[in-house]
Amino acid sequence: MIEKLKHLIYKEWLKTRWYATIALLLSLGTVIYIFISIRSDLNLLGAPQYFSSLILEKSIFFGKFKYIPIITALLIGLSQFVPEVTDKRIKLSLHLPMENTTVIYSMVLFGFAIITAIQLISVLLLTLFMSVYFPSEIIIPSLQTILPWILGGMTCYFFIAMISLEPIWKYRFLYIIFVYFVLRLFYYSYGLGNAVTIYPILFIITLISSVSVIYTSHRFNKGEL
Amino acid sequence: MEETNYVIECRNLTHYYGKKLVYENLNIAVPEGRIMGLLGKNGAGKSTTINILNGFLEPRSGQCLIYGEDTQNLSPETKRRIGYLIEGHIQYSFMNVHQIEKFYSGFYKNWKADAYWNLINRLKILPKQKISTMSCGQRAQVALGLILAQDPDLLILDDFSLGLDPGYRRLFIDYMREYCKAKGKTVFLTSHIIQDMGRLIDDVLIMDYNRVLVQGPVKDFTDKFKGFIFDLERDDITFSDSLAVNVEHINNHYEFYTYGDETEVKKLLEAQGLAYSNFTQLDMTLEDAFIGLTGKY
Repeated sequence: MIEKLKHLIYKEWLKTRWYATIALLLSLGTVIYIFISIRSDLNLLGAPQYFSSLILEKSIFFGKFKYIPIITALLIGLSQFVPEVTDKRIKLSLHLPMENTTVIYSMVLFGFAIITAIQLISVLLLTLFMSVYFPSEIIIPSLQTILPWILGGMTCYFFIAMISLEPIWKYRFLYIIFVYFVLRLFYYSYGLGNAVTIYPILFIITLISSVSVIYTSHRFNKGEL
Repeated sequence: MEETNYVIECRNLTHYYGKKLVYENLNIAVPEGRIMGLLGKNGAGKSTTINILNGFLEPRSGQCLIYGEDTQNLSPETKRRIGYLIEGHIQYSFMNVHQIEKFYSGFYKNWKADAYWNLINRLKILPKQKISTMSCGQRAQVALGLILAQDPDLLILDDFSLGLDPGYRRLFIDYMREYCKAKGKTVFLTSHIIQDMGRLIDDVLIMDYNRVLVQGPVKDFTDKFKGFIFDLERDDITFSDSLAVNVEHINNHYEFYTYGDETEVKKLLEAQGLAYSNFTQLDMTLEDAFIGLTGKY
């Protein structure tokens, strides 16, 4: 079983490696850009004015990072699932001598792990940069603000998997509209540290999205038309 | 008497797409070691059957078994025994020939890499050339090589001749026949191109829209089904007798397809008071018989 999983991961890696590299570079580049911006603003405005704007106006100095998780999810998700959907190549994967659910979830967990790794590296680097200039009173609310964006990226990824396996195009479009409105919840401008109250809802949505692929893969196997 | 082992058994298969009937109460039985061809025009239900066999489509009613397992829920062990060729020789086109061999080798314990490389080494391709940049014939050879390396007991080939030029089609057919007969493999294949198919298959199942026209050994079908050509004085004759399975004509030149013999056809013409000339029996291949049976349109 381990051997089969290794080979399945090999396929996923072949599909995603360049897109994962692009996503990582984009993510790290954005974090470095934010760091340079902080330094530049501090030099330009001076520390007292810059800190007061952060604390009193709760301004978000890392806004450029907002859509990075969702871009990462799109790059990984599409690079993984578009080749599977094209010419219904997913039939090859589902014909492998493994349980269908194991095949699907191995693919999904691989993508999820890549996205998580990219986000983790980026957030750790961002936290490291923040710790150079800011006290924990700013760092913690900042991370609380970033969390919904990261959850949004993961939710987006799970929904890409779900939509990809849907056999009927009409339903795919309906799902895309539904997903668009769901994802807006993650990217609403809550203000620095204010998103904490909505965490439970966002976590539940992410959790539900993570199992949604079971529904469409079941429909694919039934050949729903 | 020796009991027949059926690798594939479909019982009373009925399927609709929406309200459109594909077929009703279709029964298929493929004995071990035989090569069965499901032949039909586009839209006759060939791919529907393949999808049901591979568990990608749930029939409206009825059941298909492969090695005694319901195809809607095949176990990994049974899937391992089945080599599946998707219509158009679809494979992971983002891989090259080395990557794809490495990928599949991890799933099959009896992986026969030599069988794969024997075929691949004949291709004039670059070592790192992606499958997506290969010709249809080359992709067919990669797909065939992968199936041979898998060494399955049952091969399910969906419209394998699609897109192949005559040389590659002949190569594919001859290679497949040799391999399957030497190793006692069972094959279920579909095709809408019948040319050369007589070289490959033992049994034939010919489907037309909603119905099965023929099911049985190819030889029985080609021996019994006959075609005659003749000229009549008029070009508006219709035949309602059951002897006439299919009759086509261009002007007053008629093609008459039947399970009857020459005497019966001539008797029918005479009974209808039709004067005929140039009466000749056609020497028919499987392809001729297929077209004669299903019609040109």
